[in-house]
Amino acid sequence: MSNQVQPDASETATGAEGLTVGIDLGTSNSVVALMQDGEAVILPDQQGNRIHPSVVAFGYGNTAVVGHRAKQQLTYSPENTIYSAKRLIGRRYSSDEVERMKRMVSWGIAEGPHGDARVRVQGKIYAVPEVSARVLAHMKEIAEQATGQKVNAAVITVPAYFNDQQRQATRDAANIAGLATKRIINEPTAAALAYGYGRERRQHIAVYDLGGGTFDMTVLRMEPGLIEVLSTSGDTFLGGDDFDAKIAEWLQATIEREHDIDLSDNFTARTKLRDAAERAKIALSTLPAVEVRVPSLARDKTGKSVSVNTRLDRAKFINLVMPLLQRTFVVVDDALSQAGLSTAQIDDVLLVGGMTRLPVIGEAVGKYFSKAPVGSINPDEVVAIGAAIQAHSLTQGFDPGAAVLLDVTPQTLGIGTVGGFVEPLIPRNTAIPSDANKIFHTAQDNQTEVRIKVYQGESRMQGDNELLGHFILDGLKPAPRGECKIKVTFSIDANGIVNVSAIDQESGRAHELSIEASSALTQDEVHNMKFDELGF
Amino acid sequence: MDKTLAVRVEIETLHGLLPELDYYKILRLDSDSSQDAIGPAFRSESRRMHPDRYSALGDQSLLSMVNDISRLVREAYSTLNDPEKRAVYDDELVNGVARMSNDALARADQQRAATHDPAEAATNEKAGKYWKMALKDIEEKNFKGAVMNIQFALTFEPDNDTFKEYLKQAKSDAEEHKKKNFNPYKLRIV
Repeated sequence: MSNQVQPDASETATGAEGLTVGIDLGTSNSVVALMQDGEAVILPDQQGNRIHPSVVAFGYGNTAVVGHRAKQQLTYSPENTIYSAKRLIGRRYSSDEVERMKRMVSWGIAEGPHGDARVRVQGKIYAVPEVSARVLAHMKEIAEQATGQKVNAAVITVPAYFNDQQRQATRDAANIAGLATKRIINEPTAAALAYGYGRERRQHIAVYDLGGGTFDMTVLRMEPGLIEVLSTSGDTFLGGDDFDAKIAEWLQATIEREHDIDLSDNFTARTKLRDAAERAKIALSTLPAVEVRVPSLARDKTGKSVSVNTRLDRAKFINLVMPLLQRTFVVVDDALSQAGLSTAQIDDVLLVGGMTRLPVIGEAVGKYFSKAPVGSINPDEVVAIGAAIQAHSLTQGFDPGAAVLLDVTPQTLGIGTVGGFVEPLIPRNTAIPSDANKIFHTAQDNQTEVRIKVYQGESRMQGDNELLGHFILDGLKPAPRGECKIKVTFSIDANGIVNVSAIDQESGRAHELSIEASSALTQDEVHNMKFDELGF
Repeated sequence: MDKTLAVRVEIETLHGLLPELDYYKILRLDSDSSQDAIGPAFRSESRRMHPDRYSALGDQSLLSMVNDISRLVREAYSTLNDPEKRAVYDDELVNGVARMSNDALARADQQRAATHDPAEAATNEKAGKYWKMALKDIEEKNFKGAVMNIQFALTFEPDNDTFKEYLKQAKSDAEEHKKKNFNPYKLRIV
């Protein structure tokens, strides 16, 4: 792909009918599904794979491969192979998460022109949505090959706890990949939609969704034809990657101690350890213990080859990851208390996300709720299935088996006030779409602009929340202070994306708002990043 | 009549009536309905008037009308489902005001705060003494003093959640008070 202006696929193909698919764009893996003959099915690639690594491997020049082929490149070219890009999407370069990410990954992270975190590979800088767009384009291609039809739109899932910036960046990625985003829906809600499809029961559901990079806990009320989210809570930086990292750290520390070497700058060795850790973790979902072997990992000070050959059993594994598991239950507590329900009031517990295949997680969740989680759902595929059902309802006519979704906003939306505080406007767990308004006065004579800072997060302090943007309300007519009254409306749409509009109370005239200090890409940038017809 | 046409007529009619409908009417409730009836009414109306049901028809003007209706359904629910907000709304409605204003919402919040009076948080007599001093400190914006007094109160009642919550707040306020700076945004919020 290049940064030259490319013909816009959706513009040139106006009027052309295309399919709308459901895509689960995961941290580690992505899945694409479609409703066919009244049933949502996973669309496999030509090799029959149903889930595809969200990995983009850059080769020489502008070439890149995605998915299974890209993952193969991981061990021999780790600095050119981007995995877990979703953990960076919509994040500021200066955030703690990006700092943690830098220590975890073998590729480069750089600061973009909006203060956003970007990916650096082979001396080139890519915005994170450009990388995610390659994964989406790959899903689009798989769907087109599987159906023989053109795919031009999608319902895309995101972690429920994603904020506005992360959702916008996801939409940008779809746009770059040539997909119109019909809706962004939350992963746990999509899972509930799939689970509730055709079910005629009234019940409370808890969805424990632990994926490769994020954790969501959502509590819903399900009744025939309707799914209402009561609360959602989460941690957008807690997932399978962190479990792998714990094992890899343990392996690294063991090796370093035994052979008196330092591997902290050895990317190849660390990638091999991470890869071994991931495989060991997956093996532990079926076996009580595994032998972890990494031949010729590095060389010690005397030049002798060092290999890993150690045993990891479930007890040791649980010991290593216990702090991470405990973090998930803090979130579970919060979601239940926000919903005003006790564990006894939950009828069914759903496990979603590949990580929940680990028996330790099912056991811990079962113990917490005093009931075994529902066993009949496929934690890797259920989210994409839900997205496909929603895609069908939005484009093909409302499906009688499907339910309408009433979702909530995961984080409080507020505006900055004097002294570094935040005044909440739309509290977390408010049903979306939702809007709130505030009247702003000018504080000085002849003031012609007002600045508004919009935040998302639960803290009363600005610094602890995510700054979504810095709006400048300008073009006010000069008047004595306080005379000019502007009504500003903040709204969250069905995608969980924030919009701001302003109206002059007296004249009824709408005001232009320009956004500053937002990490999102501009319209022009997205346009310039768009892939051409070939996908790259 | 064509089914789609019937739906369109129903939605157009309802949309036309919106300005006259109060929160009870949009949810098809009586104004003396029990608090328990609000949720089911909201869910039933939300299901019927959900924009996603009409999205595939590709009729933008119909969709926009459904959006307006569903917005009012949610607005009605968020007010009526909260007993304090509902009480304030009922007063407003008597005066012919069918929509909750920001002022009315603020009044509901004040009433809520008044019914959860922090002054009654202490159960132990000695803790109560320090708690009273702490509340006075907060009122006078002496956050440092408040932190000290809440800590004293906590030694008598170490499990008091209100104390803990106030302590956390007082600590952050004390911190903030220290580095308080001028207002760079020149706006006043009403």
